[in-house]
Amino acid sequence: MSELRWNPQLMQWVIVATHRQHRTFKPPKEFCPLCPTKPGAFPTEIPAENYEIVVFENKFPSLRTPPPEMGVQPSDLYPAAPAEGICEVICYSPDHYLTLGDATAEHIYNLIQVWADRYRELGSKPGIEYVYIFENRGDAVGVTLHHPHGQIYAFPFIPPVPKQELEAAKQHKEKHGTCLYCDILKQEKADQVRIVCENSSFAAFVPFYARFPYEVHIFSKRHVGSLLDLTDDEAADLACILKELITGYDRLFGFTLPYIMALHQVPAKGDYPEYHLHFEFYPFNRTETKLKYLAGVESGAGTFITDMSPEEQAERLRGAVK
Amino acid sequence: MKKTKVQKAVKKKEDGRYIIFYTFTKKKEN
Repeated sequence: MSELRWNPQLMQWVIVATHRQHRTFKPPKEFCPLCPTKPGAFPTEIPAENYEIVVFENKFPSLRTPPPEMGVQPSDLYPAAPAEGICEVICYSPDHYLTLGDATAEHIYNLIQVWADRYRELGSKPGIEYVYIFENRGDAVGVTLHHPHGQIYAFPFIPPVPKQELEAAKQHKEKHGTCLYCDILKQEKADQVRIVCENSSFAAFVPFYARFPYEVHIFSKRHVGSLLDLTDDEAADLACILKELITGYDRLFGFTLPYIMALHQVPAKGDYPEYHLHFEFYPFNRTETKLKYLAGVESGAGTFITDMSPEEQAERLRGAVK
Repeated sequence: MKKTKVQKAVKKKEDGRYIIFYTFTKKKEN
């Protein structure tokens, strides 16, 4: 059973995907489904002895084309819709133990090209409204496979977080005539205290309004809407700053820091000149041994509480990226 | 950094799902 169910209280879709309950859960390395298939060994998801970067349709997709039959009848009070869309997995490397921090900047540059290709191709498909590229890393954020990989959800609607960001960017543009993200970047450059690292094309900083511990946003310095708008040199700069930040995270904590990496780009359809390409990193570790939980105030009220100032977090991270 | 050119090969898995192999070659410098 799989369908979209409308939450009329929060005015957003929920994906019901009961088949995902039985997805592969933390297999041992010798049975990793994202490693290449070695001669005589069990067949993995990748029917090849080696690869550079591979993308395939998720075996346990939340969204699928064509969509499965719905398990419920929609009504006026409870609208529902087919869970139509596409879910893909991106394997970053055949090396089971590689992390993006360990990868060379050249390899990350290659990955950026793959992200751009998937964004373009999936976004061009009928019915796809938003292409969301992300990575869940580490047990703390609930990964079920430890092999280095990311995911892509091609949604039939614009999900709530990008939708809210688009609305904020639109309102800011109407009020000030400028890009919200360009203005934030200008402010961060002036304040300096929350900047973690930067290069010619990108800046990484802990936002003034960070919600997660050591949350970092990476903004493009040039006003662009998606990876497709980047020049070769800008893509190379993006690879370098991603590596610098992730290496800094791992150095600061002394282990591979669990995080969620979210890539926000303009929606697949329509015109959104006010929006601005950026990455958001959400780590869950407050300290080496303590995690941030989305507890009563965060989950029930929607307001985040942070235990350390963004300025202090940025200062600690700055020391680690050097 | 040496820039690369991306190529892809799309194949079908036994269960019908697609799989895309991306390969990269170094761009020639002008």
